Amino acid sequence: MLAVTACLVPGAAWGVLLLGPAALRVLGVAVGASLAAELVVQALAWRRFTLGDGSALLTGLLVALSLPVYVPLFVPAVAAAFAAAVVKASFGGLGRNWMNPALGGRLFAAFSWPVLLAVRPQPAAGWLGLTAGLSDGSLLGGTGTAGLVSTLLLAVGGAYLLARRIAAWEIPAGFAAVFALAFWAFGGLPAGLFRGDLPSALGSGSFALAALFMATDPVTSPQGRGARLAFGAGCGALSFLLRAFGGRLEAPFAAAALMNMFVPLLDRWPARRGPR
Amino acid sequence: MKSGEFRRILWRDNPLLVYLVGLCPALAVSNRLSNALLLAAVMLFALLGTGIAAVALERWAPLRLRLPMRLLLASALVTAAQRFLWAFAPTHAAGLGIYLPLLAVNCLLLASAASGSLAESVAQAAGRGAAFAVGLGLLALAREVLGAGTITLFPIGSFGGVLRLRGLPPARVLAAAPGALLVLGYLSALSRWWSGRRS
Amino acid sequence: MTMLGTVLTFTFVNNVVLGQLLGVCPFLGLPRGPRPAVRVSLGAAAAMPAAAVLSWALRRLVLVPLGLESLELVALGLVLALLLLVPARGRAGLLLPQAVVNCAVLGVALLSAGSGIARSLAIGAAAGAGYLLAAVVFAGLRERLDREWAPRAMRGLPLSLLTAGLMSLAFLAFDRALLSALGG
Repeated sequence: MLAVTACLVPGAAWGVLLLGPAALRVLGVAVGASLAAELVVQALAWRRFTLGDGSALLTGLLVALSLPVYVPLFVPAVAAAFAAAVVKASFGGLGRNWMNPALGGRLFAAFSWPVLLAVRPQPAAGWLGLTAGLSDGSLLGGTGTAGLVSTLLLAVGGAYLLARRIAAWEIPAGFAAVFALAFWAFGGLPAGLFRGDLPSALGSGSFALAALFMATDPVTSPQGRGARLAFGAGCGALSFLLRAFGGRLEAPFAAAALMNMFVPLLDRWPARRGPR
Repeated sequence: MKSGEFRRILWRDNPLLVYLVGLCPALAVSNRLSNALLLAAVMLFALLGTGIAAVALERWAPLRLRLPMRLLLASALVTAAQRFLWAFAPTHAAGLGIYLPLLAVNCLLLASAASGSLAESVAQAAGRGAAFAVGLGLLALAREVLGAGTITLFPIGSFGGVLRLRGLPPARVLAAAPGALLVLGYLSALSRWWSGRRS
Repeated sequence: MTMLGTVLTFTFVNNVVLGQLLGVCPFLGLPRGPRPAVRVSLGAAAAMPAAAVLSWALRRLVLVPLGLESLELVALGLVLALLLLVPARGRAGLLLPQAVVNCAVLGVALLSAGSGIARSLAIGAAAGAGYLLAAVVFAGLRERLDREWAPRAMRGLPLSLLTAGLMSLAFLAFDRALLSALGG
């Protein structure tokens, strides 16, 4: 838990440096709301507290990083509270939820306040003095070079998680491979095949965040190698469909949430090939 | 029916909130309070109708015919209610959409009645109808207030029918399909917790 | 809307269970485990195209010529009631009432009003497919829920509802914009 949080720091720091105090506010509100929500549900329904395990902190951090910087502060608060209280604590808490909490919270925000989350240029009031371009639905840089940098920084953190076997490599591999291939092949479709804009697709911070830190959540992803590759591939395919055709900024998050539903079925699939 | 029994069916054994019977139309129309109240009224009407008729029919009909007959009767009653609504309140009828005719196959309506006297049957129908109304009303109130920021009642005189609440922008998910399932889930948990406390 | 659009709408964009909230009662009562759930849901899923076509035939051949469209619900109720009387033994006998007295089946019959036979069949088949998809996924998730501890008030039906709610939330990602972009 702590390792995952630590690996998010490079990407998060870049976002904060680029976007300024507003990003810090989003982060603070989300983490605070997540901790508070978990506290309340545990006080009411559990009669024991597990705030120290850091999962609420991680949930809040992921929710904040997946939201654009220009949302009113109640959005990260409600999204993080929903993630912690509804998607996780109501189901029994750490290890017992089937949908990644941050994904649930992000989708709740996306469909509740679509106008507030709609794409617009990000106010870059950070300390780097750079312009930030259009948002890609997350707190990380957005489109263009800034987004590419955030992807790289997240990849650094992600590589550490993969090396230490905290995250299974098959999931981001499948995710990235299918997403990239589909985008390259079909992304520029009116003009022709194999003309997709690959750098802008892969350079999206929300994609990296979803592929490396949210889809890889061991609680909500399958176990076997084949199942994990299929899971990642499904995420990639759905991400492509939802972003290229649906025009959704939160496509990677929605894709991973949709694949979360299939995890029990994916986990059964190799078993059928076992001894009969 | 004694008052204790009535209170029991309203809260501890509420068919909608505790046993989750008769869900489909309930979930769909609970996005506005006026829709919910209207559907509950039709449900009460149909419950009373089937309850009263059942006393007569089930005395003479063989076991296998009972469910089909209740189904047919329910269709007829709901059709009558539908014609009435379309004649006198077409906008409200349109707001209910296909969920009004779907009451004809509603589990709550088709559940077997208490055997016995006419009075008992009417009392049971009234109890179920009231319980349904309460459950549906709570569900709709929660969903509409949090999901749309309004409370929609019926227009009377100069009152247009819609109360707008001020505050944060409403969470539209709650007024949509997921909201129905989520809010009902929590209402159900709440009523279980409540009845668990008292027993 | 094109035929593809209709199919995609009833399966994904406005999934019969997760989007239109039809057939929720039997859905929540499904057995745990994907395989038994599929067996039970196949009855309802197969009944949907049948119901759609049947209601088309009823409308076209009986109600409209006789000018009785307003009695559509009663006519459908009569058909359903007659189906309930069909003597069926064994497993079919248990599944038949559940397939017949089902909001989704009647709902599909009502929703196909005003459509030709091809589109009615498409609506029914797509709704059935959507129902099966939701049922299989839900059964798998519920197996997991049953294994884990949960707060006492949430156990059982409340968490089933929350699960269906979160599934419905994820399915909101399939919307009209996606449909029209895909050529529906």
